[in-house]
This record gives sequence, C-alpha cells and structure tokens, in this order.
Amino acid sequence: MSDHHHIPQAEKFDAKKGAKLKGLFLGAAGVGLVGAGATFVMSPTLGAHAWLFAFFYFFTVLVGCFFWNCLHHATDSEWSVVVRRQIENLASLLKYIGVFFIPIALCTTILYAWFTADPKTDILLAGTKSAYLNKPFFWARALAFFGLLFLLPNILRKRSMAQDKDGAASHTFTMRKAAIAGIPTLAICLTFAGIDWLKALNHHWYSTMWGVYLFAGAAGASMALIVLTCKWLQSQGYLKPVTEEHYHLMGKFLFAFTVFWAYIGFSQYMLITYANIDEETIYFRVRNTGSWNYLSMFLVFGRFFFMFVPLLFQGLKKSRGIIFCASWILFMQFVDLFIIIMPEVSPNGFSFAGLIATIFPWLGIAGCLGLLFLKHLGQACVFPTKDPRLAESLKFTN
Amino acid sequence: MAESFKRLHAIGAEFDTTSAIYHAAEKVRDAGYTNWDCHTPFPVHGMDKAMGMKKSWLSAFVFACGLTGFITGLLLVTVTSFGLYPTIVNGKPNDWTHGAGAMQFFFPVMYELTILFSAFGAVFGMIIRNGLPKFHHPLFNWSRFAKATDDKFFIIIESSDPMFSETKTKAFLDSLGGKHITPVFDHE
Repeated sequence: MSDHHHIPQAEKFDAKKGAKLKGLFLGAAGVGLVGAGATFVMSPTLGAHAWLFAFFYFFTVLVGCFFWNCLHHATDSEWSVVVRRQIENLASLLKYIGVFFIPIALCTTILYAWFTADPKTDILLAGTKSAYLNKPFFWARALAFFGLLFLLPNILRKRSMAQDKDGAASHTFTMRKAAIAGIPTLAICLTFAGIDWLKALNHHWYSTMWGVYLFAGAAGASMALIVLTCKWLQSQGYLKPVTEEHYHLMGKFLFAFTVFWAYIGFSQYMLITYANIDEETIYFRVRNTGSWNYLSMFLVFGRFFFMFVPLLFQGLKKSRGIIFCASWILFMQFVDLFIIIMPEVSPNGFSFAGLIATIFPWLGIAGCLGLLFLKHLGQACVFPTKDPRLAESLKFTN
Repeated sequence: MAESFKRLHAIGAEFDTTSAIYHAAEKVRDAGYTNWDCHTPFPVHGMDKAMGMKKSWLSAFVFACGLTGFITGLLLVTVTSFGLYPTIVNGKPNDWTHGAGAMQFFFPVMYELTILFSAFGAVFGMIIRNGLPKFHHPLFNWSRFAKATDDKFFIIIESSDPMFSETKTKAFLDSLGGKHITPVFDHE
C-alpha cells in the first residue's frame, strides 16, 4: 500500500527495567548452582545426569533460536525482521554454552559406560561402533560443535549490529551467506551432539530418527522462548511495532512444530516397535513400563493433544493466550528431556529425588544465561533499526 | 431489444492502481455498502480489512470436517478390530476393555482420515462458499471487465445492496475516482 509506515525510533533497553529480572536470575543462578553442587556431592551419578539434562535443555533451545535466525536470512523473510534482534540475542548465547559443558566433560566416565569399556572385550562396542565411539573422536567432535556454534551465531549478531550503524545492504548479503552455511551446520551439530551426549548414555541403543526428533522439540521450544521474550519486552514498553499479526505467525510456527514433533516422535516409536529389534526397543521398554509409562503418556498428551486444539484457533494466537501456550511448550521440553535422560539413572521407575535434582542445574544454567541475555539486550537496539526490510516487516499481515 | 428490459445487476468502476482501489474500497466500506466486491489481477494485501470483511466461516467448516474424519477413523479401527472381527496381531490386545493399550498402532488411520476430511472440507467448502460451479456471470457482459485478469482493478456494487441507487451509487463511484463507470445488466 502507499501508506508509508512510520519507521519507529531506535530504542535501547534501559538496564533499570531489567533490575527485577536480574535479581531473579542472580537468585536462580546462586540457588541452582549450589543445589547442583550439593546433588553431585550426595550422588555423583544423579548429579551428573541432572546437569546433562539441564545443559541439553538449554543447548537445544539455543540451537533452535539459531535455526530461526538462519531461517530468517536463508528464506529472506519479511515478517521476522522486527523480532530478529531478540532471536540473535538468544542464539548468540551459544558462545557461552561450552562453559556449561565442562562439568559433563569431567563426568564422562560416570555418564557414558563406553568410556571405560574396552572395545576388544565389550560386545556392544565390537565391530564398527568403536570407530565412532572413541575418546579422541568424541573430544574432537565436541570441540567442533562448540567452535562452529560459537562462530556462526556471533557473525549473524555482529553483522546485524553493524547494520544498525550504517544501514548498508551488504551486511544482509553477508548474513544470508552465513545463514545458509548455518543450516547444515546446526543440523549436523544438533544430530551428532544428540548422539554423542544423549544416545550414548546407553551405547547399546539405536534410533535412526534421533537427530530429527531432538530438532523438532528444539525448534518448537525455541519459538516459544522467542514469543515469551517479545511479550516480556512489550510489557516493559519496548517492541511496540510487534503486532498481533507477528504473534499470529509465531503461533503458527508453534502449531507447526507441535505437529512435527508428534509426527517425528510417533514415527520413531512406530519404526522401533514394528521392527522389534532388541537394541532398539530397549529405549521404549524402560520408558513404557511402570511409572515411566505414565510420564510418557503425559508427554504425548501434554506436548501434542493439549497444544494441538488451542493452537488451531487464530484468536488464541493473537491474544495473550499465546503466553500460556509458549510457557507450556517450554515446560513440555523439560518433560521430554527428562524422559530421555533420567530413566538412565533410575530405570525401574520415576523418582522424586531425580525430579528435584534436575530442577537445580536447570535453574542454575537458566539464571546464568538469563544474566548474559540481559547483557546482550543492553548492547544493541531492541530491533534492527536500519534493516532495509524493516518497513515491510512492520506492515506485515497474515 | 431495448436495454431497459434487462435487469440491472450492478454498477462497476475501474481503477488503475492498487492504492487507488484500496482507498476507494475503504470509502465504500465506510459508506455502508454491504453487497459489493473488488476484482484485482493479483491478491492485494490488507484488502479484506479495507473491505471490512469478516473472518470466513471456512475454517470452522474445515475444523468440523477434520473432527468428523478423526471420529470416522476411530470408529473404523475400533469397531472392525475390537467388535466385528477381533484379530490378534503381534500379540496386541483386541477387545474393548484392553484395546486402548494398542491404540497407538491405529493412529495413522485416524491421522490420515482427519487430513483427508479436512482437505475435502477446505476444497468443497470453498467451492460452495464461492457459489461454484457457475457457467455464466453477468459481469462477463461488460467487455472492459476482462482487464481484471490483466492490469486493471474493479469495484462492483451490486443492485441487491440495500443502499443501492442507480444515480447515487454512480455519483459515489465517480467521486472515488473510478473510471469507465458502467451499469452492468443481466441477460433476460
């Protein structure tokens, strides 16, 4: 249309408005890290698994944010320009994620049985498996994941911030190239990180759908986090140009990845149960027995059915109801990873000690990353002020 | 064959640009007309708002169709596998009391029928909503209207509109900047 949209003034986040949240994050980080340490002293196995759970929760969510950032540039999207800075702020937190891996690196012998098994005598490692699961390759892969995920999200954010100053279109082209490199990178990193750090918890187990299953959960959960971030900034008086049309679209993505998660999760389940091979069914045999089965059912109904129907409705996606859906999806990501990791500690059934043990490191990492996010938030404008396509993004309609 | 014997179907006006028809549509909406339409060679973003159109009922229809498909799938698998012809497959329970334990293996049927019925609902609902199939439309009697598929934009106010008046509507369209304002007649 010819009606020219007024390009809003560049706005920077005022640190005072984040003071309350900063206190909350500090408290969470303190309580969480102390609690995680205490858990580890009481039970190293439980403590190590709980930390792995929390680490992987935030790893998946941040890789998911990086995915949305890459997708924006690779598809040259209009709508997401106005929310892109927040996606960048979140995705570039990946540069700190390696720090939270240190406890896992120190606990590899507790977490992964193959670390201490001898490929010559261990029947499960016999054959070609030890060509992948061996110590030098494991560490090299971990370094590669953190290196690549340090580099690319950082390039996207730095370039985007540079564009805020000069408004040059050349930054857009550079970001597009980085994003197109980023998509296979993040796919490979997330898949093999999932295999190395989660699937190898039981190195007997096979699943051909593991990487895509983790991705499906990660993409949905990270979109939920982006929605909550935008809603929080709006409640503080920022990001006014983000309209219900943008939330409608983000809600559509929440819906899409609710369905995609169910589709992939079901496909994995179906392939494994129909083939009925020992080294595959072991995963579901543990998780579909006794109290774990109740939690698995809760995951299926909570992550899929409970979100499927409300997210169908346009009105909900445009209203404050999306805050509930986004929070619920982040909670279900917690349940999802809990069911992936914790049965390895207590295969006989759900334990409340396990649940409490996972909350501490989760709070600890959430607090630390939250503080770093507030730091990122203060460094740049809350939306890309001089992006050439900002005007198109502002007048976006579904 | 005098023209006055034909029924007046509508009055049409031609516009040259998207912004012209967009702003004209806003004024037609504000004037209170209800039975009118815009014809453009390509979709114009925001036109539904400019025309004051309400949300289509098609989504509700599709939802109902999807729900019907889901229930059909559910009954298809349960009635046949638990009721009419209980068969043990892979040792899975096959009776009404324990059958829910094997329900996950029937999901593909329910899922596919939900999608099939929704897709049918969307396509046929759209066709019904648009009053198709239709072999002729009075607007085709207006030769300039063919340009609606090329490079011109048209607003058509139908004579069935309660506010319609042959003279006033004509003057109104003229005041909006419409060109080639033409009364369009029905056959008969």
